Amino acid sequence: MQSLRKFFWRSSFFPRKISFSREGKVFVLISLGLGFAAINTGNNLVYLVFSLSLAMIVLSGLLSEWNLRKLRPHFSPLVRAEATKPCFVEIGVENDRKRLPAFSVQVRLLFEEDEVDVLPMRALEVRPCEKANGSCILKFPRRGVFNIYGVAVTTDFPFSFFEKSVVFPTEAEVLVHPRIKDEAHLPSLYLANGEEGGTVGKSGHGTEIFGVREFRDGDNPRHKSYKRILPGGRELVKEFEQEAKKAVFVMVFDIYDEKLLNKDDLEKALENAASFCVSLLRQGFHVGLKTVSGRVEVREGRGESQMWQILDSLSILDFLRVPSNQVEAVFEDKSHLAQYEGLAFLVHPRFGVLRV
Amino acid sequence: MSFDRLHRLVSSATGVFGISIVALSGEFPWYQMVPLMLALAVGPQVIITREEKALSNALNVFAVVSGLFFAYLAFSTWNLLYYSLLYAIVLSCVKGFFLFQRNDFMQFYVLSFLQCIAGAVINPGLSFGVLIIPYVLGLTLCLLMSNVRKWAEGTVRFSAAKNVSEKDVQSWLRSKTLLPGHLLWLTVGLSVSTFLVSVAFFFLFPRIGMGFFAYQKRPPVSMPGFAETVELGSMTEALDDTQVVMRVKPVIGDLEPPIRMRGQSLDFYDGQKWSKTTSSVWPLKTDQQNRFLVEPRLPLDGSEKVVEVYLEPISGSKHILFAPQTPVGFEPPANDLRALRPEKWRFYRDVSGDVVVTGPPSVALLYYAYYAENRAMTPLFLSDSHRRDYLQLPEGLSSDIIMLAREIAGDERDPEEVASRLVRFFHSQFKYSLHSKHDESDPLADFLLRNREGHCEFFASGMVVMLRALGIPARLVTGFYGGDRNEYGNYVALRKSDAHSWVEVFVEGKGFVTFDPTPPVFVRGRVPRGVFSHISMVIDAVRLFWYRWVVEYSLDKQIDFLLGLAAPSRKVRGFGEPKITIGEIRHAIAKVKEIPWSAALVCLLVGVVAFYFVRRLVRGEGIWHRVNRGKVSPVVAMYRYTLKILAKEKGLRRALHETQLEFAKRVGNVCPEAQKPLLELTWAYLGTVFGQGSQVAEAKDLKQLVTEIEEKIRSQ
Repeated sequence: MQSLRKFFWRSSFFPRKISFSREGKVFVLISLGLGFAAINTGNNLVYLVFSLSLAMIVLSGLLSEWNLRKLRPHFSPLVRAEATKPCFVEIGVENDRKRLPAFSVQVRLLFEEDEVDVLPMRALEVRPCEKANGSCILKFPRRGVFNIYGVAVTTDFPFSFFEKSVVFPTEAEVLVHPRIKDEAHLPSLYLANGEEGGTVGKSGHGTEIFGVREFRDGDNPRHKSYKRILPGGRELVKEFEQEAKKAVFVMVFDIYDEKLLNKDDLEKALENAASFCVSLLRQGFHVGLKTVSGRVEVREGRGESQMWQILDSLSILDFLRVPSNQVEAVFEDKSHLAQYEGLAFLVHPRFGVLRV
Repeated sequence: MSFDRLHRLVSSATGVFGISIVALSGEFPWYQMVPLMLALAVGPQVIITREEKALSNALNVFAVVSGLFFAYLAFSTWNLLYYSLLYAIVLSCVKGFFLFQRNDFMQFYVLSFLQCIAGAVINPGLSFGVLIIPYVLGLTLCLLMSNVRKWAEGTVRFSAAKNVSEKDVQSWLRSKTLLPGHLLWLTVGLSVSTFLVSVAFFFLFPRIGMGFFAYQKRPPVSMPGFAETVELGSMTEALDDTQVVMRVKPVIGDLEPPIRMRGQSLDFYDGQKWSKTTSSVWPLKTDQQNRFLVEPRLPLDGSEKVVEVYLEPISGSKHILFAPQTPVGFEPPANDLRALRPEKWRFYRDVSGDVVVTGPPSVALLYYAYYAENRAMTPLFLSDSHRRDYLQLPEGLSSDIIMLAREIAGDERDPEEVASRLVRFFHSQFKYSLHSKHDESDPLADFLLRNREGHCEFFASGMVVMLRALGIPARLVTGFYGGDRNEYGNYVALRKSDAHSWVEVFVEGKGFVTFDPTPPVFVRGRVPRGVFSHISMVIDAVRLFWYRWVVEYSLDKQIDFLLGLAAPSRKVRGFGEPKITIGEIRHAIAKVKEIPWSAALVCLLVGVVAFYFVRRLVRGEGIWHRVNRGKVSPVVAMYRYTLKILAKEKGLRRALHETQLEFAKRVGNVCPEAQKPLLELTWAYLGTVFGQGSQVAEAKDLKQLVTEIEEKIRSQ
């Protein structure tokens, strides 16, 4: 049924898509009953009421068609989103008509995946030669890649019996990251005192002052020291100490066997891993990521770009089904983590974040 | 006025109009309808802040319990329609107090619409036609406002960062006037359009009634005095009622009130009531023009006058046809195909010349009556048995009455002169009164000898008895006399109060001659010509139009109209024009059968498909497209082609997390010369796909861009 519905919505053979509202179904049923009663009784007044209901249906169709003419949607491209959290997309519709407004218009994005929850943008009135802008709220139930195949401009004007839509085909993809839990204190649960970082006793780009030296060309004039000046008027500049590299390595499970581990466990673990990585990155750590199977590896880095890289990788990570003994072997063997300098964590589906 | 208040007001008004259609049918007593109408008027105006779940549950429980109660009443009395309708009305009244969300309003409108449908079944009167217009207006506005409410509720919930309670939504609606001014104008236009389109559908929709569940169309008018037995004094009640019973329109000749419309004659009087001696009838024969002749030996010669009679359904076992004095022929309407089907429309007469017609009960009749004022009423001679019937006197007739008759007649033997003397006697010595009381044992003797006050029945009965006592055959005739001219409809309206009795006296060689012993002061119909009488006439004319063209609109009229369309030289048949013949209908059916319908259907289908494809060709759209992907515009195709080239030549692929513009900049890092055309192409792509950005370039320019990018990439 869903595939038939999708076929109908994408088919150019039917340029207008119509779906009945609940009231529309009731009204059409009443109309059919009226027609049956009118034909069977020959009562002209029942014919009159039947004609009235038919007239309302016909006018509803004509007016909704007129309402949709020369409407053009637009929306801002959406590249990334987060699973289970509402995501706002700027969307709008423009009325190219010169004199007549459009009423009760909704604009929504159409996804190939049916499970996306879309709350359309609504406009009561779009004046002629004007735009109506708003937001469409999307809620993705899971991580992964979601494909937009069109934008639908819908109206239920005038009587809300039917919703008539025009689909403007378009193609875009949205990468949905795993849900990030708001637990900024997460790393402190797993890091001992002093492991958050420090300095290494040489000049660098940290925040602690290391010393002063003579100002040379190319130095940042903002770091000039005005408290002391060398004889001859030569200026001094502050030096900052290089901070210790706060490196953390995170390992994620991507194998399952249904007996010891199932996909739901892995999804939760993946969410935990993503949240953990994001918290660490926000606190200035260098973070690297690898999966247990070795299929995916992200070299350590810091900052926003590293965060996107890690999250993008986790978004499209698929799980591998393996024999149970392989899963057991991974549980036992942690030697593959030993090769990494710095702190290493394994996000276990059963036991949570484990420090290696 | 806030939106919420206006919406509730309009909903109230619509609900009241809907219930009024039912209330004015007369099926429900006023003490039931008035409180319900008040509840419907007041309910939607009341705003209750509610505990959602508790009230909703209470409403559901009430609906179920009351439903069971009404079901019990319905099945115990077998009056299903009455109690179902009453249940729907009660539900809508209660629902009116609990209108919160848009769904509540829609349920209210559905219940109101069901009442309107029920009203169509039980109320065929003009009140339905009058009330349906504001009802349509109100319903259209209500549905439009519900649409706005739906938008408003969705918007409030949408824009809230946290969960919004129902109270917040409702208070927001009460604080705003949301309706744009021109939307109200649109509503008026929409209502008018709805009405006009529904009228068009009404007249065009074929009437192919199968009648499995036929319901009586109109309640009959009860008319004492036109049954098979008439009790003396039974017409008293009707003579005070001004309900219109028939409308007579002149077709050939003039017609000015007072007019006399003869109904039936009664010849047997037992001292208390009148009846017919014999009830045997025989069918009237038709002439070449399908006109039913009262007396086959007396054909119509063209000198007759004709009237069109529209007779309201009268209760009783038979349809008496009323006609002016000395009717000589009858004819159904020219466009009435029932005339061609004998089982549907048959005229009968009895020995006294009364004409009746068969047909379903409680149906209005429309027919033409031919009459000739100077032509004698048949028969011209009476047989002995008929003479005996018309000389019959009741047993125990007072001898005083006979003596009185002889005293008035004196030596005169001429029946007409004797009758005239009696008429003068009644006019001078008696008084007309609707409310006089008479001795129940012998009301006629009491009237003639003591009281000398009464209405037309007494006058006519007294004269007939006195004539018979003198050996002159006579009979009582009931009908209508009087009428008001309605200049708006060009007809004379006869009411119940115009019901009248008079006498027909048999004169050898002349037949039955009419005499009216009732003093002329009784004649009603002289209504004051004031504003109200004009309003009343307009209303009656509109009522007649309503009955003829809406309530009784039929397949016959439709077929005649369509046949007229098929032959433009013909027009809708009126009086005097040749009727539709069976031969014409058969010819039309044969012509229809000649058409090869299967071939026509195939041609139609091929035509539709061809039209679709030709339209797409003319629009420049490709015929073959990937249905699952929809249309592919040239910009998108070229962008995709460019991505393929970049991947193939330089291994550059857009990552999922990269926007198109970021990717273009990354390509620029690898191949700076290709960045500019690639950016241009990317912007064109964005403009097409997302509806923003620069205008979409022409296909020629795009091709140039793609070629340039390709060259730059390959050269590096």
